[in-house]
Amino acid sequence: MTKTRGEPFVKEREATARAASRPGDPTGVPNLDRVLGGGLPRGALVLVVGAPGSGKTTLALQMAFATARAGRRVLILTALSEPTNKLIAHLRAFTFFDEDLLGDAIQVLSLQQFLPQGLASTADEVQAEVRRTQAGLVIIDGFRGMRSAEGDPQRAREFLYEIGTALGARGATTVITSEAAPRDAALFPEATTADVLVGVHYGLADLRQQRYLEAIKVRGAAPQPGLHAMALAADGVTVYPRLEARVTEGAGGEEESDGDLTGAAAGRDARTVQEHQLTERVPFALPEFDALLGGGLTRETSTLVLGNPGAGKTLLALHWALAGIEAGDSVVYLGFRENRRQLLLLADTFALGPRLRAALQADGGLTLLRLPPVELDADVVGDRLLAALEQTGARRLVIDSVAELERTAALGNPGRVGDYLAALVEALRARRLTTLALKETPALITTDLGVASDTLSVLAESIVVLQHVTYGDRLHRMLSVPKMRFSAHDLRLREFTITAPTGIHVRAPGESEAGVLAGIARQQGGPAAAGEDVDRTWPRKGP
Amino acid sequence: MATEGTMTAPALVLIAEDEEPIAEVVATVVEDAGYTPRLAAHGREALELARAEQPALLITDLMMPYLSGAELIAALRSDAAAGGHAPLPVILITAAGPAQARAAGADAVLRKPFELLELDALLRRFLEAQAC
Repeated sequence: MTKTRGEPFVKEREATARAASRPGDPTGVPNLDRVLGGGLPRGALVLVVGAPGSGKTTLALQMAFATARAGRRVLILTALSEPTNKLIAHLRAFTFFDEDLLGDAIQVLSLQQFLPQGLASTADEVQAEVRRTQAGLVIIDGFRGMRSAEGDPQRAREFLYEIGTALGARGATTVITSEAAPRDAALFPEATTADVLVGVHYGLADLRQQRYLEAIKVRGAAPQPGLHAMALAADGVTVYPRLEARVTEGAGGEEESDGDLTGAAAGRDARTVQEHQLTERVPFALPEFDALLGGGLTRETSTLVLGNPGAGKTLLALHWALAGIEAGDSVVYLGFRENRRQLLLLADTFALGPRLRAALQADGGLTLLRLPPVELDADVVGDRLLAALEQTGARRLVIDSVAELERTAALGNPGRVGDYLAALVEALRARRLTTLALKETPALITTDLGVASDTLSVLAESIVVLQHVTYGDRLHRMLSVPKMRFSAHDLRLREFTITAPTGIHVRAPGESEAGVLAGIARQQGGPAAAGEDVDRTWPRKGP
Repeated sequence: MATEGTMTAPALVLIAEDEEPIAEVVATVVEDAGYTPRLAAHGREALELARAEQPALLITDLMMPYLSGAELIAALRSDAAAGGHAPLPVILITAAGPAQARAAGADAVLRKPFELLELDALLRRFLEAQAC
C-alpha cells in the first residue's frame, strides 16, 4: 500500500505531529532523555543513523528492554540477513538483556521473508504484526539493507512515510536504525520523514575509539545541540551530555542562568550568589592563611591554586577539605592522580591521617571521585562530577588537578578548553559550590613569582600561588594571593612550611627570617614586602 | 531409523520457523534422522499444514509472524481436545527464557543457539517413543 502525498497523508502527518507533542517516553539510555529534550515523543518515527559498529543497534535494543520493563510491548524487526538468534546472542552480553522478556513482552522477527515482495508489501506486513502483537515500540534494525534492496530511494521514503504515519496514529513509537554517516546528504529525503533524527558518530582519535551522539532533530522538543560523548560498555550505551550544552540548557542566553540546576541544588535557598560571596567564608583552619584571606575563601566562588610540583597544593587541599568536613560541609574530591591509598599515605605523613580516614567513611562527608587519567573523556568527567555533587549535596569541591581536565577537554579539539572550563565554572556556580581547583605550574624552582594568565585564572574569582623560590643559599616556600574578587585580602608575600605532624603552617610576617620576604620581593623588582601594602579596598564583612 | 525394514512412509516432522537458514538446518537434522521435514515459514502456515497433513512431531520457533509459537501450540492443543485425540508433541526452539518457554506449553525446549546433536536426540526420543 503506497501512498502519495495528498490530503490523507497530510492528515496522517498531523496525527503524528500531535502524537509527537505528547510527553516523551523514557529511553532507558542514561542521559539520552535529557539530550533529546525529554525522552521519545510517543508515536514518533525515530531514525538512528551511524557507521557499522557505532552502537546504534545496541542503543535501539536498550530502548526495547527499557520499554518492555515499563510494561509496553515491543516488536523488534530485523532486516539484516543474519538470523535473529545472532542478534539475541549479541544482546546476551549486556546487563540490560532479560531473556524472560523475550517471546511475550518483546517479539523478535526477521523481515527476510517479507522483503522479496517489496517495501510496500513489507510495510503492510509490519503493520499487521504491530496490530497482532499490540506493540507500543517497534524497532526496525538495518534499514539500509531494505533501502538498497529496493533500488529506488523513493520507495524507501514511502516506506518510512507509511510506517511512521500508520504506527504513529496507533500510538506506537517506531525506531529505525540505518547505516549511514549521520549528516550524509543522501539521507536527507528520509530524514525529513523522521520526527526524531539521532546520529551516532564513530571514529578514531589517535589510538582510541570515540563515539558521539547527536540529536540532529527532535520535533516538538528542544534537544541539547552538538555532539555528546557516548560510551558502549557491558551495561549498554551511556550518553554523556556535552557540559557546555548542559549549562546553557533552558537558559535562553540569559546572563543569570542556573544551568541544569536540579535535585538537591534546586532545593537550596534562593539567596543571591553575591550575598553569599560577601558574607560567608570558607576557611582552611590555617589561622594565618585564613586571616590573609579575610577569614577564608568566599563562599560559592572558585579558587585556583597554582604551584610548581611539590609545592604543597594537594596538602593544602586536604587541609581545606577536612576543615570543611569538620565545619559540616560535605566535600567532593575529584582526583586524577593520587588514589585513596596515596592520599592516605600523604595524610599519614602529617597528623591528617585519622581525620582523612574518618572523613572517607560512608557517612564521613568526604567523597573521593578518583578517575585514572587514562583515555578520559571530558564529558564523562563532567557527568560523573555533577552526579557526585548532586548525590552528596556537596558544598565544597576540590579538583586535583585542572591540568587533567584541560588535557582531556583538548583531545581532538584544542579550541574547546576555554568553553569547557567556562561551562564547568558556570555549573559549579549554579550548584552553589565553593571550589578549590589545583593546577601545576611548569617550573620546578623559580626566582620569578609571575603567574601566566590562562582560562581558569581569568574565570576563577581567586588565585592562590604556592612556589618554591630561591633566595640566598636555600629554597623558600612562598605563598601569595594575587587575586581575590569580592573580598579584601592581604597582598603581602608569606612564607610557609610543611612539617610533620602539623602539615602546612603559614608564617606570620614576623616569623620569617629577617630580610627573606623583603629580599624576595626586591628580587622580583616589586614593592610588595613584609609589613607593606595591605589591600583593604573592599570593606571587610563577615567573620 | 524409523522406517528400516518396513514399507511405511517416514514420519512427517513439521518445522515452523520464519528464518530460512535455521529452518534449513533443522530440516537437515530431521532428514538425517530418517524422517520427512515439512517447512512452514510462519505460525499460520504451520497451523494449516498441521491440520491438513497430520505430522508426527512439530518443531517450532516461538517468535514468528502471523501466529507465534505459543499461539500455534495453543491452537493445536485446542484441536486435539476438540477431536478427542492425543495432542501433537512439540519441541520449541527459542532464544526466550525458561519462563516464556514453559508458558508456551511445549513438550521440550531447545534454547537457541542449540547443538544439532541435542535436536537429533530429542526428535528421536519423541518419534521412537511413538513408533513403539
